[in-house]
Amino acid sequence: MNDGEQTARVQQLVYRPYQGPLESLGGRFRVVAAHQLRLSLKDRWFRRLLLGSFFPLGVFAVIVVVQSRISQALGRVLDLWQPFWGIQLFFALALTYLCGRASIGEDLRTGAATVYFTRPLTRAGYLWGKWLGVALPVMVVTLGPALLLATFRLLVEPAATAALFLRWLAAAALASLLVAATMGWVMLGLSALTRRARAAGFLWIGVVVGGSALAGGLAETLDDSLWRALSFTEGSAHLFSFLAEGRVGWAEGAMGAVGMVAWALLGWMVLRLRLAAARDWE
Amino acid sequence: MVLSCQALDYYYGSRPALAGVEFSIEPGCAGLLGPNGAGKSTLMNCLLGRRRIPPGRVQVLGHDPAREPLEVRRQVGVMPEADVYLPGVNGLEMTVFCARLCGLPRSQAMSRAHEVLGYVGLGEERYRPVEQYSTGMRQRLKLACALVHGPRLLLLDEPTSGLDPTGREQMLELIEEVTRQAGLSVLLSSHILGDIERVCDQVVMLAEGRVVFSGNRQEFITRGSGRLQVKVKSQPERLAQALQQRGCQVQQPPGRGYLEVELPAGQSVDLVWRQASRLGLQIRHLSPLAAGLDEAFRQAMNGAVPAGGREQA
Repeated sequence: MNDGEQTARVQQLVYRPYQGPLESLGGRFRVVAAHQLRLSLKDRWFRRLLLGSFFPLGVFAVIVVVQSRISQALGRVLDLWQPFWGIQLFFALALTYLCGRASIGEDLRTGAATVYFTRPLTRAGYLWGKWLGVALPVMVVTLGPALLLATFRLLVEPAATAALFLRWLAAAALASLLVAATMGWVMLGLSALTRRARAAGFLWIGVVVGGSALAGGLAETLDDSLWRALSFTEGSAHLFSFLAEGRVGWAEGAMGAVGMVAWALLGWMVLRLRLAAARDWE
Repeated sequence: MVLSCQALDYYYGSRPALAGVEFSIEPGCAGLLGPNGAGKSTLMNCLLGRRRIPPGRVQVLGHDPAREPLEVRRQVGVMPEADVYLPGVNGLEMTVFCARLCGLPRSQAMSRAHEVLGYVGLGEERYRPVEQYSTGMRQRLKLACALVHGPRLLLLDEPTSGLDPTGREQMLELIEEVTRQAGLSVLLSSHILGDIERVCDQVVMLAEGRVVFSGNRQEFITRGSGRLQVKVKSQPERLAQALQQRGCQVQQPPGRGYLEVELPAGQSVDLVWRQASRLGLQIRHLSPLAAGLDEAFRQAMNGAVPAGGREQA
């Protein structure tokens, strides 16, 4: 650059040290989670599924309106929660696949783990951020429509009381939290097992299908349907049905909760064991 | 003092990666030299608290990375050697994310990211996906990410690796600028001697996990050569002959008015003074011969660095 160009410059870029405020370390996991969510939102299939998860709500609203007339005659509320929850779980499984398959393994493959761990971020912050990035969309597609449906039922169904409404809310919140925890940790564990997102996705499908098959097989062999609750889709449905409607017994509900917690712990253990062996993970 | 290590050991299994490493670095630009496998990257990771080391062995900007790794990382900017990037984001998003990870509020992170990307010359490319960046652009992006939170110390691991000559020149210019104008301290790890020679004023040299030299760059170059440049007022051939008789290797480069003298083992520069005095010759210039970092490096690697500086076994 000659002298004329140098003096004609409008702006001279120089390095300026940062002297502004800094946020606390405790909330750093939110940065990781927000990054995960931003990446997920760039995926058009993620956006479609997120929106699509609210469509069943419309169908169930129509069912509620039509059948509330019948229930008025019968004098009781309808058992709608189990089929509704089953449909929402499908969306949760698909979203977990989309959000979580590239969570950890891709970071190890692309060296992004170095980006995280050369900065003031704790391992717990990283893991909770990654988990929240998966769990939040799962909670949105399970808890969100459930809350809306519960509110709609309170308004439309004559037999729906405030106490029942609160029970629905509590059931939806607890079941949703457990589903998000289970799916989140299992998916993160699987994602840490392989550096290829596609392989992690296949593992996820394998765990969902294989887990259901295993639970079904155990139930058949031992001639006890309780074992079906070990599949986390069945387990979640059992738990929610027990909490919201009391359609299944406490034993099935408890088995559902135990099964989900066990899956979540398994995912967490796989994750920790895998990461303990990864050199970048420090 | 920017950083110091005392008796630092680190093992991968039973294999020592660092053995009794001791050195200190003053503000400015320091080069960490060593061949592949010398322990440079391991040392960098120890400085960041990414490897478990005993407390009290390392101080970085007054903090012990074994006890306060997060505080160290807050004040240090790191440019790793590996081609690290976040998939699915553009340059601006990645820089903002790095700033956010260091605790900058969202608006400040965005503003700093724009500034620092302009500073490293990626202003026009900031919205391009990182996957589409060339090697040179990725190196610049890594530097931007290292600078965005306003660190006091930069750890640069092979910053010119994979760059073409123009890219290398520009990267070194940036490093010089942040060191000299912005007053940042830099530890530049490289096995490219020219990079160290160009921007560093201190040198730490590692070989097989041990520090073989730590000190001033000029001292390293001149001591590493083990040779002297001697200029006398007249009759240099008489002095050359006398020195050769006492075991010195003497050369007189054609067309140059000085002698290049390599002293025999155990002899000091006094030998030259004594011989000149005996022959009644007037020495006009006597200085260590700067051999260039390449030769100093080779000699240090062979354990041929003469006493001086802060060499360690």
